[in-house]
Amino acid sequence: MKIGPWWRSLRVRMALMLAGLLSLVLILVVVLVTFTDLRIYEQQAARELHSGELVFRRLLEQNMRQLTQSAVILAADYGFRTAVASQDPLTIQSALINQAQRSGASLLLFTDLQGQVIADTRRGLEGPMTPTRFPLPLLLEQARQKGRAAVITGMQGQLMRLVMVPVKSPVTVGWVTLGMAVDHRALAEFKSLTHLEMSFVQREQGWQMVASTLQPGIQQDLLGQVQDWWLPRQTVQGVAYQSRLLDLNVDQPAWSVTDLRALPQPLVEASPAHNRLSTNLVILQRPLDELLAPFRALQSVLWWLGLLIMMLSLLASVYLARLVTRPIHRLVDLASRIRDGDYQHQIERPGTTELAVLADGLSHMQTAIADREGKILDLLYNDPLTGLLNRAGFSHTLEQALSRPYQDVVVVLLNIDRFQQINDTLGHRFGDQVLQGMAQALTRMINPLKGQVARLGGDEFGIMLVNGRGQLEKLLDELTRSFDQQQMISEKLVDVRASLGIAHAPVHGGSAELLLTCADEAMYEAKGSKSLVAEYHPGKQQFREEHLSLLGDLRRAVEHNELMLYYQPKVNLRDDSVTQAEALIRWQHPERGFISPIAFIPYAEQTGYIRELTRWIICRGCADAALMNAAGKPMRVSINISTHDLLDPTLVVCVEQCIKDAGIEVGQLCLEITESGVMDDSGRALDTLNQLHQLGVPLAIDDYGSGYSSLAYVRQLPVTELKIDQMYIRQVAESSNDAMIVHSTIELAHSLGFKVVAEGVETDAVRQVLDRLGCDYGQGYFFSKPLALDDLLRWLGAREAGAPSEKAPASTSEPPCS
Amino acid sequence: MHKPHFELNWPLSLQHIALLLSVTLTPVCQAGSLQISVQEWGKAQAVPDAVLYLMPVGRPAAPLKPVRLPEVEIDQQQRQFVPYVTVLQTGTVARFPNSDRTQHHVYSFSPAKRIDQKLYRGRASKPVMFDQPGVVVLGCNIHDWMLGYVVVVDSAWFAQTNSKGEARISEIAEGNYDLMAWHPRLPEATRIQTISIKGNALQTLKIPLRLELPDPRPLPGLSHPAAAGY
Repeated sequence: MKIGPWWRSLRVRMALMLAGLLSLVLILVVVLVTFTDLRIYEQQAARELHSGELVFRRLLEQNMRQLTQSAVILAADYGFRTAVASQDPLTIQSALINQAQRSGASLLLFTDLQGQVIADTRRGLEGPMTPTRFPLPLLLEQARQKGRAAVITGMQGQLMRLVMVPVKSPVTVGWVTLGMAVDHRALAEFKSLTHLEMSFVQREQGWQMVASTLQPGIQQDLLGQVQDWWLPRQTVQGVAYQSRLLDLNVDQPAWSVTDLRALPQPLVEASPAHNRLSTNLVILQRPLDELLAPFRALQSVLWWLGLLIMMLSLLASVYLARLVTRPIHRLVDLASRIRDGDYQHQIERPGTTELAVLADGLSHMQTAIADREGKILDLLYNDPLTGLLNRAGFSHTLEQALSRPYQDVVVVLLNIDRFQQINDTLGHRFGDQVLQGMAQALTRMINPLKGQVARLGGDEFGIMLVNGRGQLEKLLDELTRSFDQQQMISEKLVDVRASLGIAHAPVHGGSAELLLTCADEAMYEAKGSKSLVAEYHPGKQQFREEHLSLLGDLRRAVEHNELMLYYQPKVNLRDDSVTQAEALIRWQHPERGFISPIAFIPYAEQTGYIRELTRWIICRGCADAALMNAAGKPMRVSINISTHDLLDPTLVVCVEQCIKDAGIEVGQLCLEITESGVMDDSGRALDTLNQLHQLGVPLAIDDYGSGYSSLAYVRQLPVTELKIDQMYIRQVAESSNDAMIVHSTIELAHSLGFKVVAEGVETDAVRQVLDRLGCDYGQGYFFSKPLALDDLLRWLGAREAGAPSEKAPASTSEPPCS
Repeated sequence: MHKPHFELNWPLSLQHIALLLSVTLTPVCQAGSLQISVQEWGKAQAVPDAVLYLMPVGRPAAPLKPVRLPEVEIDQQQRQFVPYVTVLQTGTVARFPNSDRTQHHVYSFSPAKRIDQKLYRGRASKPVMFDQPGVVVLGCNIHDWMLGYVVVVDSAWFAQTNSKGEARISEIAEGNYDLMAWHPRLPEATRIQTISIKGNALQTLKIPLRLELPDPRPLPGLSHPAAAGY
């Protein structure tokens, strides 16, 4: 199941949408409140600044009035006027200093009617008394017009209040200017009265700070901001201020943006028309921090509240989303369970209507799929004849049992002995009844043991027991007892026996296939040893483990010609000639060295690779036969083929092709079939044999006597030769019993027109017995071990040369097999 | 001080006729007269308290009248100098009789005459001789608003405009004169024009005066500079 990115999930989307909407509303509220509050506080600051300005102006006015009074009283002083009347600058100067000491003035000037400063307290009494121009001509001008003038201005780095009044005696004879410095105490008082910062700036070749309630460091910063444009809000060293600019010269409140460029140039250049004395500005500043403190608190409460609401809304939306998504997840879970084949899960019906409908639909689907799958599994896994599981079903069940950990699983493979014969002699219907009877018997035995019985095919049954070593004993006991009795089937008493192979998991293998193979091997061992039961022998495990790599190696061996054919000659016992040899495959592995055919042929048979192997052998055999022809030693080459090969419909074509390619006679290739090979699925095997026969290929029965086939049966086959199994031959010299069997077999075979070959001739005694019994050919170590082609040719050469006197010379022309 | 004016003014019509005759008939050594009306420059408004006097051109003025000069009184009434402006010839003696019940302390820092005289009620003041020409500004050290002017001229021919702005100078000897004008609202005495006097002729003049200064007298009532604010 492909899951999209996380943000595509319904839950996340719902949460985001809900939380997003709420956040939007919250942000709008916060923004609105912020703006409104800011406006309110701005207005409050503006009001405070305005009233601050009024206070400032009122204070200044009072101050100036007092100062003017002082100046007037001073100017009216008779002694002073007398001094002025003396017209002696030094006298006037001394009188001024006297007056300054009396009044506490910081500065006193006496200016004559022409605007010349006659006396100045700053000069003292020692310096020259040269008249100078009055430094504030506009002040003088205003005094002339209005009879008095006052100004507050910076003078020599000090903030100074200046008043100018006439000296009358009794008409105006000159002007007295009285200056009083504004000290920091006055500024501090103003600040404590209004909570405003006040700064006095003056333009005189750039703006200068004359006096300020601000900290000295901040003053310069503020001055830096007094440029061409003045804004009512400024931040000075991180502190926000709202401010108001007072032009002391012009009665005009500087509110909002003031263009300082519109103010007149410094004093000396100012035109009187503007009625401005100087460019003296007072900046009143309201620090917004303390004003904004409650607002900031409200704002932070709002933000926290917003955060809280957002979290809550997030939680709520998650909860809401889960109302929807949790049932969906459950449904998805159900769907994946259904996908994995679990149809037992009961679905919880969600409360939401739409989802409930969906859940019902899924539930019905689950039931329907379970039903259908049950039917399919029935067809797939069940054997219609016995009603048991078939091989596929058994494998499936076995795999399931194996997939559960920490379980002992025992697999018993049961093969009914001689079932072919039962079928042949008593009919297939009866055979079926035997199988059904066996199935019932096994089911009856297994059911209490909580095991599983299956018919794996033909006459083979599989039994699985879980955690049941003790149960296995019980089962074997019961089986033994049942095999000891004759069974009544269709009113006939039959003796039904079976061979059992046992394999244990996990000791012998972890997969169903491996266990079945093990049990199979054990079963064949049991059959071979004619005992009822054989347990898989772990010693063979190693051998089997090699199989997998062997298969790969075998393929490579075929490709790289690591395989070769050795030939064991068949000696004509009549005339001692050698015109036939059995081809035996040999594998010289580059790492493991010589590998016996017993090690890989069964495995090749199991995997089906035997077909390719057989083809290779046939082709090589044909090619070798051609080489023998070329060497002047024409031979008939016998090649073993397996049951698998006989079931391969292309075998005939292949044989034909190989013979043609090699350019040998058809009769030079003889195929040997084990008798058991023909017994299974005799129909198709027989077809193949017939076709080969028609082609003219001689056929032989190998290992005759190892199986249960009767000569009567063999007679039906298009064969020309019987090879008697070596187990009868080895003891034929000692055992009269064996000699009798061999003798009768030879007699019978001859009477049926077969040539007889004896395998395993190891001693001369045996050879002589066989010769006496009328056996046609002998094969074995007594004559020769299997030889490589070159060795064979050499051996043949030596034999021709060394033993021509012993028997009649071998004819090169081979007696036909057929 | 009104007396000499009356003396001069009474025979005016006869003198007028005689002057006309003498001008038209034979030139005899007789005295001419000037009838002057002073108006403010650019305004049809009479200027009172203007002092007009003639300064002979080329030669010192020869007094026609006897050398003994009359004594002048400058009174203090209702804490004001009365008259506000007094014009007199150099060498004239003035007195400050003080008609008020309060004391006064008359002072003058003017270079033409320094005065520092305390005036007590019912006690005769010392006469003050104005022996130098010039404007003497009178003040009272007790009452700052009191202001009076004494214009001392080196001439026998002077007059002062009345409330209609008119003044007459008579018995002027023949000759050329500079007509000078002074007023509290002028910074200094100003030469108006040159006048030629011949016989008994009566010349009539209209003089516009540009009064540059504000009226130096304080506004009526208890006015004080500090009360007007700064």
